[in-house]
Amino acid sequence: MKKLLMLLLAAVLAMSVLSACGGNGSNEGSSKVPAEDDGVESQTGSGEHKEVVLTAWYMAIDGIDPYYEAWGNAVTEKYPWISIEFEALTADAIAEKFAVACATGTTPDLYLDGYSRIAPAVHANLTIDLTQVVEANKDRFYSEQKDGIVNGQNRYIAISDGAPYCLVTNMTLAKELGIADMLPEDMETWSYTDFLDMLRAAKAAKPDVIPTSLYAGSKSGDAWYYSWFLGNGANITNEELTATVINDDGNREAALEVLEVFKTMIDEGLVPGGCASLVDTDVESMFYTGNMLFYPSAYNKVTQMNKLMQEGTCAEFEVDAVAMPTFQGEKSPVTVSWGSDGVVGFGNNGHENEARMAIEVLVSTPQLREDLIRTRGNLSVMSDCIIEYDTEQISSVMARGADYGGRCATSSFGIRESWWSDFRETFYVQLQDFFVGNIDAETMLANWQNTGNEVIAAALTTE
Amino acid sequence: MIFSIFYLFPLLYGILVSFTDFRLSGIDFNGLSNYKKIFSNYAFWRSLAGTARYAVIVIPLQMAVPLWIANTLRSHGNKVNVLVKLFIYLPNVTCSVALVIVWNFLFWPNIGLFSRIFDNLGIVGFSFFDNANISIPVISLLIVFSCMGQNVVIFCAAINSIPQTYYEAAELDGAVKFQQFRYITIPFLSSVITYVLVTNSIGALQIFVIPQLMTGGGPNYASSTLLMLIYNSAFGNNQFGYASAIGVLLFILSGIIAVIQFKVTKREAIEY
Repeated sequence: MKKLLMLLLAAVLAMSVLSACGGNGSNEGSSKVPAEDDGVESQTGSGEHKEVVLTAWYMAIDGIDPYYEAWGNAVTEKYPWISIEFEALTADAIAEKFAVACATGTTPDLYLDGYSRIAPAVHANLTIDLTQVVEANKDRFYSEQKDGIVNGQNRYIAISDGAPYCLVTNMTLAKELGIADMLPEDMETWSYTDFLDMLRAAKAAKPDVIPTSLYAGSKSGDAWYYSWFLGNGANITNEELTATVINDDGNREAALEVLEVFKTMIDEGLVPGGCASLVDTDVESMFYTGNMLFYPSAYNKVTQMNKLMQEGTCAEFEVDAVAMPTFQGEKSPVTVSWGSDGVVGFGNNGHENEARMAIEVLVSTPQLREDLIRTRGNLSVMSDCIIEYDTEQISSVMARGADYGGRCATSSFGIRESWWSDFRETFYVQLQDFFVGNIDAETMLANWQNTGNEVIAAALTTE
Repeated sequence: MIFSIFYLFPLLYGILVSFTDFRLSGIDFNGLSNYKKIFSNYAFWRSLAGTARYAVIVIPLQMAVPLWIANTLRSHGNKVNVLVKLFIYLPNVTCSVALVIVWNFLFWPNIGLFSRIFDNLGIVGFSFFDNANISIPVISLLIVFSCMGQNVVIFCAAINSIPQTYYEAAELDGAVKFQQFRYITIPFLSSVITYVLVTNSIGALQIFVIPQLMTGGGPNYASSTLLMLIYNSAFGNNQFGYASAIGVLLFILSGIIAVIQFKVTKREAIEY
């Protein structure tokens, strides 16, 4: 009897677990019929709209972002039977959670992130077709929707362009140290020598100051390094994106010049010790203390830091941004942008049409996008957005960043390819060995080229 | 049924996935490719070496230190016992991430406490994590500190269950503390020691959180472990098949080590 009861209990528990895994049954099984709204299909059941709760994930800057809630409210206002439940994910967790969700078919209905992270899902045809939404709003976009088109279908919509990489600058500290005039007048044109001289001057003026930092402890933030290479004329991959070329004759010298700057920074103590294990967020924390002159990051940090200062979670100082230097200080080098930030929908919960309708609301409502873009500090890809920042100083920096990004930003060197995640690891592990002095610059480049080529070749063979 | 759902199914599914190229767009059977890739990948060998290096430091310390503490506590009163155990067990119930954040404040280059001390001694820019010969011992000590509470409690419970009469008789015969420990405590604890040794060895093969958060496995996988490689392959690079294959090897390795340890430490339990 006791055994029978135990078996029954186990069966009930197992059934409850299995039913929990089955998803939200109330949201499924509705039929699809065309609706009249903006060329986007609606979903109804027997003439009446069945209530639908969409799930949406996005990367949080600082907790639940009210602007996403505003989007949800706008969707519910237009389509009263649709509501959106948002989940803010941290930068550390989002890649893992999204990868697992894609692999196991448990993605949310809506997902907002950078295209480089979304691209594998788009290319695997996991995301829903958004061609109708793009067509209905095509006049709003500055340029053709290049990202996310697979087999003629648009499976991703860009909301904003990623901000170009640069050196975020503590201007208050620069002025306090009396070295602000060492920055280039146009905040763009300067050489490696100018840059290193300024770091040395900062250290000499106040030994406690951290002039800047390098980091190689994680894969994130690697685009900052690629900006150095590309900006100095060293291509990382070939144009066809079929091989690594950083150690080829045409690129090696320029790449070595960049690595020489990094080595000088380490050898002269212009960066903190332990760069090989520091991660970009460690460096960010150092910059927040107000005791670091240059923070290796992108223009969008300027607005994000302003928000943190208002909240009191960061020391208060004037933030500016200066472009990465080049060997001889040429103007208009290349800088990296991760491409665009945008939105995709998934149909695995049976909410394909509702997801499409929610995305349509975001795309067709400039105010929603403006708030999102301002918070992220990115640049609009649609002409109907006029972004106003909190202060004139920030507006001026962001305008400069937009101009710089428009002229110099590139994301066409492989970061949107399916093999990129694996490829970037080949860079970081070599950089770590280089930073700690286990290998010299020539060996680092050779190793990177070899391992990078292996990754690309393996990916191309599989495809 | 529950065992099947939560253990057997994931295990079998993991083994199955290890023979596939598991991508977002679908699964393709690729035979032994993942296993071949493992053995030709230097990241695997470095991670395996790293795991072994952590294990060589962590396992003996996690056995010896708690045993010594438990044996020392035997001769102290209840209040001291409880207080010491509470203090030692505290890191076990503290979130590892929180511990690492605090330790990072100690070990961080430039602004960490130890870094400041080194700076004052004239060693500028010293980093604990640039060299695996330093980072692995440091991290191992932190792992031992954060996990030994469990073993202290187990050893204390086992030692307290040894009849006091044996110690009293030994004392009458003139046995000193070390002799009592060597000839009474150790033999009586043999089955507990085997259990702790096996569980700690398996645990050592699964070291992950602390090195992942402190060094990320660098430089160039020098402080990486097999579990870190699995995690980074699966969730960093979306190579679920490859990660599963490493997982299968780790599973086999754990099994082999456990069997060897059982064989080596097998002796008849003393009844009392």
